[in-house]
Order: sequence, then C-alpha cells, then structure tokens
Amino acid sequence: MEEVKSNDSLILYIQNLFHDSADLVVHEVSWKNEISIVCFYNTMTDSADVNRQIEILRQRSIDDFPKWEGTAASSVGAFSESQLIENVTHGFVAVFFPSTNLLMTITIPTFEVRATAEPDNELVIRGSHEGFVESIDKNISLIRKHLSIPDLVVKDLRIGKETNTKVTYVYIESIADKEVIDIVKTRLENIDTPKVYSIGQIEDYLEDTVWSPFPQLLTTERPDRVVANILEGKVAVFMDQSPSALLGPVNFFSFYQTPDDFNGRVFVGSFFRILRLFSFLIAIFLPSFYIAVVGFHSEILPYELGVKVKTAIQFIPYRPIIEAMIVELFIEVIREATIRLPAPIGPTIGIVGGLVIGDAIVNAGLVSNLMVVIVAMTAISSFVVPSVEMNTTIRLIRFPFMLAATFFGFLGIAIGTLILFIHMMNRSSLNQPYLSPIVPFDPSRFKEVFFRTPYYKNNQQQKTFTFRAGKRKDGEGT
Amino acid sequence: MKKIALVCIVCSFLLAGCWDERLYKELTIVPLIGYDGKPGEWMGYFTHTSIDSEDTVSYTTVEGSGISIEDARLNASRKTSESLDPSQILAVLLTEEAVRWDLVETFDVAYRMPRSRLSSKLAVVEGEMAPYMEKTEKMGLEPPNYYDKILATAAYHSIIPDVDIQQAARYILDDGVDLDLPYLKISEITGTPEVAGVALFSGKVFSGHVLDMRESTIVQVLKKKPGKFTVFSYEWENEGVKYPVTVELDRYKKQWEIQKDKIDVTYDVKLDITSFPADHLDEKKRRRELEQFLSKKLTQDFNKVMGKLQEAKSDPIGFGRVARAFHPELWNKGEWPETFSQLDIQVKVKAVITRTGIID
Repeated sequence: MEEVKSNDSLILYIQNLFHDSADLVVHEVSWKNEISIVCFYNTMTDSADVNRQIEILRQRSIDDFPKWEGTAASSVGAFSESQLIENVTHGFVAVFFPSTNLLMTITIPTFEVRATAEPDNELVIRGSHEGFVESIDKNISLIRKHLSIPDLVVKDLRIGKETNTKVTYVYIESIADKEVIDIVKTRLENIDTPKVYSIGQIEDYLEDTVWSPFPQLLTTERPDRVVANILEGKVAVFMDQSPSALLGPVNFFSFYQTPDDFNGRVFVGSFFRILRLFSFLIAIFLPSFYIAVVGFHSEILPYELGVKVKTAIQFIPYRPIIEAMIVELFIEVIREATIRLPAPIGPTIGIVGGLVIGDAIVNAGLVSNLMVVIVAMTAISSFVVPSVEMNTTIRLIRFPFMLAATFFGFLGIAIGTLILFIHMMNRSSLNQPYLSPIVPFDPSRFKEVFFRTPYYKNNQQQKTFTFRAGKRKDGEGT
Repeated sequence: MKKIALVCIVCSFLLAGCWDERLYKELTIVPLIGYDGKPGEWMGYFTHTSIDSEDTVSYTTVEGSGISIEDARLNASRKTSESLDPSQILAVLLTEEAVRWDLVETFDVAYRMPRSRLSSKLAVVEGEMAPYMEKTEKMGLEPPNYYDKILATAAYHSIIPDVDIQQAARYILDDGVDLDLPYLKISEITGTPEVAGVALFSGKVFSGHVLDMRESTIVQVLKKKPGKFTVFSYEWENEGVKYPVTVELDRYKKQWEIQKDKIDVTYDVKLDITSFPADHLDEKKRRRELEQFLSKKLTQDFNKVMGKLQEAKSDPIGFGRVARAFHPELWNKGEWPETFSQLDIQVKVKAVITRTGIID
C-alpha cells in the first residue's frame, strides 16, 4: 500500500515536471515482479503502439530473457530527471522502474511528416523529383538511399538551451577535407543561443562573413543536389524540422549550376551555364548601364537608336534614376506580393501588376517604355540563377550600381565593379576561396565554370576546392 | 573623423548634376550639318530633331555664324530650346568655298572634343548650302537619313571613297596621298541633291577639279579600294551592229613600276560579264575579241582619268607614298603635287573574262 502511495506521488511529481500538460500520459504498468511508470506525449507517440511494445517487452520479461529490456526499439539506462525529460520531449516513451531506479526508453515516435514532394523553388526538368521534408531522419534516409557506402558519415548535436534543436552534418569521410569538417564542427558547437528554430540562424553562425551580400553556403531542398555536392567533398548541414540543407564550402559558381546541367547533354548544359553567367551580368549592370548612357554618355548611341531613345524619354518628368527606381521598386513589390499570395491569386496579381499597371504607367507618361523593357529584362535575368539566395543578392546589389551610374556615369560603374570584385575575391566559404577557379586561378577547373565537360573525362574524383586536381594522371592528383 | 568623411561623401552625391552629367533629354540630336564660309566667317546649318509628341520626330534647320565652326554651333545653340549635340552626326556637307581651307584646321573641334563623332561622312556640295538642307519630295527620307543612305550606296558601288572625318585628316596630313571627297550637286531634272562624283584635293585644299561618276569609279579602282560592286559598260561593235557590254569587276592585281621620270602602271583585271546580248562567249575567238576590246577601252579611260588627276595636281591613288618610301630621288625632286603632275604616267589594263554568266 505504501509503495502504491509513493507511485501516486511519483506520478504527480512527473506530471508537475511537465506542468500538467494535457497530452502527457503518465500511468502505472505492472511487470512480472515490479511496477513501473510509463510516461510519454500521446501527441508524439501512438498509444496503441506503446501498448504493443510494452506487451512484447513484458512477454520477454516473463520468458526470463537475459537483458529483456534491450530490443531494437528500446534500451535501458540509469534514471535521471534530465534524461526523463529529454526522452519524453523527443517523443520517446520513458518507462521508469522505481524499485531498481532504471529508465527504459522505447523509441517509437510517430510524427506527422509530409510526403516528399519536389521543392517548388528548385524545379528541374530532367532528374530526380524528390525533395527534403521537415524530418531529419527522413532527409538522411533520402541521402543514404543514394549513397549506400559506409563512408557516408552522419554526426549530430543539439543546439539551443530552450529549443534543444537537433542539428546534423553529413559528409563522406574519404573525400571531405578534414579541415572543413573541423570548422563546421567547431562553429556548430560554438553556437551559443537559447533559441534555434530556423536554418537561417545556423547559416549565420556558419558563414565566414555575415555582412556580405553574397551567400557563402548553398541552400537546397534537393537530395540529388546534396549527394552530388558531398561527393565533391562538401559538408551538408541539416536541422530538424527544416527541409533545407546547407552545403559548404561553395564557390560563387556553384550557385549557377543546377542538376539539369548534368542531366542534359554536354552542349546544352554548357550553353545554359554560360547563359546563366551572362544573365548575372545583365541583372547587375543593365539598369545602371542605361542610366549612365542617358545621363552621361549619349554619344555612344548610334543615330537611329538615339532617336528612339530620345523619343521615349523626352517627356518623362524626372531624371533617369527616379524613373528607374519607380519601376524597379514596383517590380520588387509585385514579386513580394505574389510570394505571399495564395497560389490561385498569385498569377492574377502578376498580370494585373505587370501588364495592366505597367502599360498604364507608360501611357500616363510617368515612365518611359524603354525603362520598362530594361527593368523587365533585368528582373527576368535575375530569376535565371537557380538559387533563391543568390537571386535576392543580385537584385539587391544592382541598386548601388544604379546610384553609382547616376552620380558618375561609366566611371561609377567601373569603380563599383572594381569594389564588387575585390569584395568577392576577399570572401571565403568555410575558409575556402569564394571565386575559386578564377581567384586563385586554377586552369584545370577554370573551364568547368563555363562548360559542363563530359563525365567520362573525369576519371578521378573531382573536388570543388582541391587545387590543380584536374591534372589527373592515373591517380596522381594532389 | 569617420563621421565627417561620411557627411562629405553623402553631400557630394547631391552635387551629381554639377559635373559632367548631360541628360539626353536636354540635348538635341544633330544628324546633319552643313558648313559654308571661310576662316573667321563660318556659317553653319544644323539640322536637328525636334520631338513634338510621343512618337513624331520632325527635323528643323537652324543657322549660326561664328569665327570657327564650333563658334557657329554655339551661336545656333542659342536659337534652339536645347543645346545642339554634335555626337550623332551622320553627314557633314561642305561648300566648295569651305574646302578651300585646310580641313584639319577647320575641324579642329571634332578631333579635340571626345564627344564629337569622327565616323560621320563628309561630302562637298556644289553651290549654295541652304538648298541642300531642305527636304525635297524625291528624297523620300528626311535629309540626314537621305545623305547617309546615298553616300553609303555610292560607296558600295565604288563611285566615291568611304571617307569619314577621321580618315579625311589622315589623307590631308599625309603628303604622299591626296584626299578625294564625295561631290554632291542638285540634279537639274529632279531638283534633288545627288552624288555627282568626287571633288579632288591637292595638298591640303580643294583643287577646284571635280570628276564625274564614271571617272571617280576609275579612281577608286586605281586606288585599289573599290566598293563591293564595280561595274563598267561599253558599246561593242561587230559587223556594224552595236551591242552593249556590261562587266563587273571580279578581282584584280596592280603593278606599279616607278622610275625616275615615269610611272608604268599595269592592272590585271578579272571581269564577270553581266550583260552581253551578242553572246557566243563560249567561242574562244569571241572571248579573245571581247577581252581585247575591253582592255583597250579600259586603258583609254584609265589614262584619261590619270590625265585629269595630273591636271588637278591631285594624287588620291597614293603614288607619292611609294615614291617617298622607295624612290627618294623622285620624291625629293620638289613638291609632290608638282612632280606628280609632270610625270609621264602610263596605265595599262589587261582584261580577262573569268565568268561569262552562261553555262555551256
């Protein structure tokens, strides 16, 4: 009777520990010759499953199996309050034996996980259509499915005192750089923040320079992209409850490559890779080039084009920069609005914003039609880059260029370009040079920036950052 | 310190309009300019665009006078709503009076100012400038485009040299070769300006001699700088019947033999027959006859043109360059135009028919 009483108080005590949460299940379970307390959240674990597991374990204890507590789904350890809390909060079932002071853990969490669908922001035409989901285990399993090798190493750690978030990094032991893994490990371990709820926070801690407009880690939701990248010696960082993986170290040109390049033919892949790099230049320089021409250097226009430009801008009441800002900001607003809108309304707003207002704004004489053409071309060019972060970066850095062009014309653009490239050369991603095959110059990998070379030529493992790796002479690479 | 620097930088942005900004909106495109006069008394005719509404462009001409062509432009600028921008000129017309003075000195501003367009075409006009700036019914295009197009067409057909302001300076400053500029005159029949030939320069100035279209085509061939399409037509007589023969220049070789007091020039030309109603060119004899006939006619014409060049003391072919480089005794005889005009120059043309235009 006394024992029962103490069990009752124990149950009360555990309930208090979890602040009497409504989904907490705490009750007694009797075994062959002892009584234990079972504790779990019924929102994270299916109660029927719990019963089935306990039944199996009880049968093992009745049959007097040695170490009957240890099965594929359960383990046993010494009881401690923190261990109990951790187990329960992770969705495990904690079984506490007061008489022996042991804690058995049954791991049968059943979370709701959405089906793996192709990520909307990284569509490909040919290739795998899988995408990561909000479960770290499922994500890792998607990678393991591609790479059935023991060299694939998965390490995890928990970050954030209040959120206690699981963060995992994945790499291939034989390929990845030891130095890079150490950096990832130290940087993750040094994260000292109470709350972690988004992968963007981890990205901030992992990046070399947070105050650079250029992303230094590649974010992707595609398992095939992660696999291709870790095979080049990169490290992928996952966070539980996030469908994105961070890949590093990357160089600038990694952002301009997509799985489509490698699934398509050599010529096609190369052509579109060059086209994408070209669109980078258009997206940054086209509006500023236009502003510089109509503000400073109209003499470079041939006569026929000059007359067209002049007719277009003759009756515009402002300077070109103001005109450009109006259209640029307008396009940014439309873009931002369509992201937030539900899918059925999004295209409608795009049409209303783009076509109707765009046409009206030209007819009203507020903006020249030439400017609308230029801004539209710029916007489309900026969307060519297959990475969302790089896309936002490009859209942002064209504004300083527009200002420079307004104040100093071509000279401003030239100086701006100089600053931009100096900045990019000085950046690094997990201590690896950001403009890698170009600065420092590596002739063997230089062509891969512009061309997608045929596979059969790479008879040695290609790494993103190994210098002069391309001098492949029968396994003699360094 | 940092703060002061920052304030200075931010404030300097407000001064953007104070340096070399030139909004295109506030400039007027000048595609055609005509100059008349002499040093100290220049008269400029500037055809400029004026944009009346969203998409209609009209052309107006303003006149300005001044002591230099730049002064004339500034003078005309004061009469227009926006400043005249000379950076998109298609063609510059000059009266015969205006080219009697050193062109390089006249166009000093064009070579000095970076905004000037050096690739605009140059032409000399007969008589007064004013009628050339007006649009006539036959033009079909606005005057600037019209001059641009007819000069390009004439250069394509080897009638005139393809010379712009920049190249004109090169020829003027080179003692060994003289400039020849397109010559325009108003047609008596249509009242519309048209290409009439070339104006020959002697030394740095206009010699007063003009060649007609046929002669100027020969000059371009002699120079070995023909356009894409060069045609000669003659009348061939056989057994009392006259047949026209039209030949197109295919390719040719020149050979100059410069001696102390005489130059022998040989041109081996390969011709394509484009029109020859007498036909029977598959017969070797007929071909030989025609080749001999063409050689004779071309030699005659070429020599006639050479005579005219000597008379004008103008050497657009560039014998002087070769003489200067390889025959100093000839070059050093005296001033080259004088020497050139007194030389005994014999031109010989050997015509070979390469294509008859008929498949045998």
